[in-house]
Amino acid sequence: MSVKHEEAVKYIKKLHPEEYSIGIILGTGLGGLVNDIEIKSAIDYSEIPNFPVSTVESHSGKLIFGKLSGKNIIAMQGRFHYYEGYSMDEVTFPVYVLKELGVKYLIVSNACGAVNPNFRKTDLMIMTSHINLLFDNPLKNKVVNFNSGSNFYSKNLIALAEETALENGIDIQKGTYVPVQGPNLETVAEYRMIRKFGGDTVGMSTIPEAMTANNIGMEVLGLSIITDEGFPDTLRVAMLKDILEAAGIAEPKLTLLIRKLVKKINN
Amino acid sequence: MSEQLEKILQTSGLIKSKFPKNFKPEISLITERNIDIKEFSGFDILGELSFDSLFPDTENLKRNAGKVLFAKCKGNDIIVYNGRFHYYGGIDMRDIGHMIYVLRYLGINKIISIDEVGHLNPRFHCGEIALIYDHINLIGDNPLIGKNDTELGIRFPDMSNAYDKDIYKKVFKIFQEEKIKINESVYLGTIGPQSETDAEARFYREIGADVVGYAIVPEDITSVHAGMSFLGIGLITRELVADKMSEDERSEKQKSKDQKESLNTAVKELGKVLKEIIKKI
Repeated sequence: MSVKHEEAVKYIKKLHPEEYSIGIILGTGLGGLVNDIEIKSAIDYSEIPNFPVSTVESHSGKLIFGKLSGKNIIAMQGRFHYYEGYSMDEVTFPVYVLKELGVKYLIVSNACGAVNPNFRKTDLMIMTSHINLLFDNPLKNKVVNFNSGSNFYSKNLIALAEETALENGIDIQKGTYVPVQGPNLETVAEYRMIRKFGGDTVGMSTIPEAMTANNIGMEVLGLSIITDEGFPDTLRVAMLKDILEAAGIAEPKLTLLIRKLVKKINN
Repeated sequence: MSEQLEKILQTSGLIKSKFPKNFKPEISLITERNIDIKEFSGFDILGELSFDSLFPDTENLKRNAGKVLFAKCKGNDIIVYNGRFHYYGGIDMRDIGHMIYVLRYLGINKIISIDEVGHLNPRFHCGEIALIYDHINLIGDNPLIGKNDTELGIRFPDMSNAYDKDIYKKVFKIFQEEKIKINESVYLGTIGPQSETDAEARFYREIGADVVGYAIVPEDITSVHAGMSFLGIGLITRELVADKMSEDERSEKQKSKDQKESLNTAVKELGKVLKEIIKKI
């Protein structure tokens, strides 16, 4: 927490003095969850002192306060990607703010490509681990809790997510997410390498936020929707249209899962 | 117009103003500064321009990096970058990308990029040529990071044809016809410039690479982004076969002598086919 974070927190707390224990970062393909939130109010990122501002037009950039399945939640609509040129401190700025607003449980979502040949487009995946290929780290120059590795992704939340998926008839994979810088997609040789050293999916986000949240003591759950298949032997040109179509099919499943899951979180 | 594009147009305008008469290039050749273009037969140099004159008020980093040559080969007008900016030289990725975007605004649609490489694949030999069909980016930086100008390309370029398959096939055939050994290669890009350890060489081989180099990856990514076809050629000058490296008892002096010799051999080999490549692609 720096002065910059404090200023942002102070501004938000004046508008929202109550505690919010669940935070959700809405990635690509989870925008629809907003429709399920009973929105109390939304604050534009640009209003909040020191908050980075989203440059991507498809992400609108709002902090949403409201209720989901009867629980107080804060949702981040629009996030900051490393490939847009943001520093790691900017990418993770909101996580520190969420922590001060009371968030104990952070659900982070993303869209990614599969390299595990048992996975398919439109599948959901619970992140159980990651291999950091970002060549950068949000915890540089920070006080680091070195003991969190084994429970990096909250075992408690993973179990809860699996149970919820089962109860609601949603197929869900578990696997290791490999974050890369992007923004170009991977070459065939890169997909092959990533699979070989133990990755199940590849993406360009989530890990900076997850590392930060974990380091400052939040319970983290990472959820992915698979929108692309990066199988090296049969790789085809990735069309944005197909990716959006896959996201469209996966989104209702993820939305349902999160809705039901949030209800179960004991806060 | 983005600041990035403005700068690109500024540099390309400057180069264009020095074009010889009726010069209409579509192909560009990029090589290291230490390779003398005159070694390649069939090239007529019509004019030249130093990188320094393009970036007069720039920091020392970019000084003496190379020159732009206007050349003619088999009836084709060609822009040659004889020398390039290196990331290990402290140059920003965006500046490396800049030089590639400039080519697009000079009318280029095909890039032939030549780099010195070390070979991890034990079946390759120094002095031979690596034909690059794919790469692994382990540089830890990317020329496309930052705000995307859609005028230049899309946000998430697909890399499934990063090394143009049609051009690759044509070049493959030319090598066959000329009876030059073909080393089909996955190129691994690292920052460099230190020589790899044997453990690194083993690791790179293990994850699927055949050769290692420092220059081609950012050039390729940028050219894919800008919609240009890319041909990557490696001149093999160093042996990085892990199991042999620990037994290498040559002195540093001998190594660099051998490296120079390998480069000369590879340049000569390439010289036999380069004009044919330019003609056919």
